[in-house]
Amino acid sequence: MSARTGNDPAMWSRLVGQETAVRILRDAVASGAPGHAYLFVGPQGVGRELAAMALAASLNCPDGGCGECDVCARVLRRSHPDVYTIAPEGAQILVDQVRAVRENAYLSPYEGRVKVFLFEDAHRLNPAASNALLKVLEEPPGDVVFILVTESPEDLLPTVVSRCRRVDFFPLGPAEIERVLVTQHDADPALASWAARTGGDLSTALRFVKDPGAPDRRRAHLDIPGRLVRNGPSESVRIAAELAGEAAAAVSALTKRQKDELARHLEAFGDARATGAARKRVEDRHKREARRVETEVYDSALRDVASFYRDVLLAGAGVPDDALVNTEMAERLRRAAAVADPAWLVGALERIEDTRRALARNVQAVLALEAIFMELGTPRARAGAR
Amino acid sequence: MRISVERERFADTIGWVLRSVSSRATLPALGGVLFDANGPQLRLAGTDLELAGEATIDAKIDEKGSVVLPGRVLGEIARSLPEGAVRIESSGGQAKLTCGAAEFTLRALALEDFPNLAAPGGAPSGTLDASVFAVAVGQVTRAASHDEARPVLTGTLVDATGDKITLVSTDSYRLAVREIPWAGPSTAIKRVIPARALSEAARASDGDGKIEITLGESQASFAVAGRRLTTRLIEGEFPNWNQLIPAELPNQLRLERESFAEAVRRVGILAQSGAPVRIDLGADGAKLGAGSQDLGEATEQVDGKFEGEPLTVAFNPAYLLDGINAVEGTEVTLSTRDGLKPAVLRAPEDASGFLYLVMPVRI
Ligand SMILES: [Zn+2]
Repeated sequence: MSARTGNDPAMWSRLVGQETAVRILRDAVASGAPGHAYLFVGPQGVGRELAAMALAASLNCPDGGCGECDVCARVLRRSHPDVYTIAPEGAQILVDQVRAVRENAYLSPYEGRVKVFLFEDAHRLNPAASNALLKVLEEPPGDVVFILVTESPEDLLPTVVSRCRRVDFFPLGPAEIERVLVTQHDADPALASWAARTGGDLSTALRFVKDPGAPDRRRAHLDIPGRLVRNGPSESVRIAAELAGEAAAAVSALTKRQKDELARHLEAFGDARATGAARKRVEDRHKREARRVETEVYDSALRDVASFYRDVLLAGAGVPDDALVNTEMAERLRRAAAVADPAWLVGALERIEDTRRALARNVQAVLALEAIFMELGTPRARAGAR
Repeated sequence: MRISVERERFADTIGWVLRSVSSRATLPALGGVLFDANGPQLRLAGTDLELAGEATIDAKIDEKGSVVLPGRVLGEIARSLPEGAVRIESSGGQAKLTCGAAEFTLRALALEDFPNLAAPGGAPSGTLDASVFAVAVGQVTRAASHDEARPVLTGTLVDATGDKITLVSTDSYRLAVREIPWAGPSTAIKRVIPARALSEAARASDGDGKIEITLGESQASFAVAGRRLTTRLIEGEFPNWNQLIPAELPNQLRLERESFAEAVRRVGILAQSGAPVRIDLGADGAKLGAGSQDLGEATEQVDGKFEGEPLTVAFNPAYLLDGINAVEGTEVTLSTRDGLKPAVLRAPEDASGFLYLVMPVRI
């Protein structure tokens, strides 16, 4: 798997296909002055969080990120007390979350050398949270590293971005994804090969490998453009309802896990009046997680539909089959491309993107989905996907 | 792990350790109490990731081992146990606790997720009487800020030199300083410690014994009577507080402390929504007054000995009262220069090494 030498701490060797990012970060660590704020830019599923954990481990592990000691193990499990993960609660990162970060940032480390604060989906910092974070970035304590992970840096406050060192992460090729699935996730090689080709990114491919229902759901999403052509705009209501059903199923699976977690929480902290507030926080977080899972279902459906239109656009431009995301349906994509209007496709992709953003802002999901599918399915417009 | 401990000691210790256990933790293991029976005694520990409490107690250790058990439940169980020895046996992800005829089975929390308690290494910086320390902490931490916008002011500066240890807190409206002679480190050490951690350290003993203070690079710890409280430090520069204390305070009023406090409390009733209490300082003592056109007026005369020029100063009554209450002894001196410069409260003759400075309110 990964050969280890004194110069090649194992934490970094887990990252596949991100040589530039790894070099920048390892040089920063080696310089002894790693900088206080990073912006990790790139699509999801390419190793941004893993790189953040590698950075956190190499700053705190006595062997610079050996990957095996207790420090590295707890960093990877996300249970190291000096490594914090801040994720959107619902659709946003809230100012209270940043306040808690600030309180912690000005305390000495709990047991390590450097406190690391990883902001997942940093573009979801709401304005108040961004401003609170900016204040800390303006006067960062010496032993703190902030890592802002995002796929859309343009949605961050420019003053925040300008205080961060940018590190770019690039999409993995199918061969690299396959390698990660097999070597790091023990996936069956044949399944890994298929998932890598159709998933498009590592996290989707990983979902395909781990979740047996995922490929079917993706196929259903990719069938949406065709259904709109065959059945017209009235189909949009049915599609939105199906997606709502898919979301409800995902939420109910989550609810089961949450019930277990709450039971464990009550065991650990008790159910007395004094801990009622903590219990409420867990329950609030569960509600936000449920909303997030729901949003993710809609978002993945829209991403899949967009990937179909983008492939049609590419096929129309004459790119080879293996450059398409949905290689397995290349023939259908070419047939659609033969009659599609590229300008309409570009417009459709923009509208889908708008809808994804709107959903992230907590609009009425089903209504927004009905509207977008209605639009994609109206006769004048659907020339694009005949 | 298989141990037995004496019930009362166990319940007391669990109760103290639980003071450091968070009720807002993110990781279930942080809601737990660590039982570490790998040494000669049983070590119990809990942490909220800002501070950590650990205590060692005598135990009969039949089989070494460690386990993390859910804190709150454990606390309730410990308090309710009947007389007798408490036996705790853990294996395979759970623990059985028996005492008399009562038996509890508890699910263990993830031991590997329980954080290490990085107590500062090296020799202790110095030692104080636990009772002296507790009084000093009570006197000083009351002046610490609660405003997270300036983190360093939410802490207490601990300035340790070879011959004294000085505790200082300020929220920029008032400042409390207490000096205590001790045999300290050869090189001076300054650390800013969260005020809450100091208060917890002060509660670690019932007043008896010596408290051992260790001021490390990233942590400070306070050990007394088999208990140790370790805390993270606040980073950042503590303001240079010496320059805030006026060099000359020509007007000195000496009052009976309790009468002064009661008068401030009474007159303060009419000093609502941030209004100050005025004090006219003159030959026969202090005349307090407060009020507004809407509410009405309150005045009260407190007799005292005055030296200097008569003048009027005004204070936030809560801040003033905090200072009067912090002074030890039956008398207190209020020293001022004028109505704008900070005033100082301390015990007459300045025997206790305590000083409380309060900013006047402009009227
Ligand atoms: Zn390591």
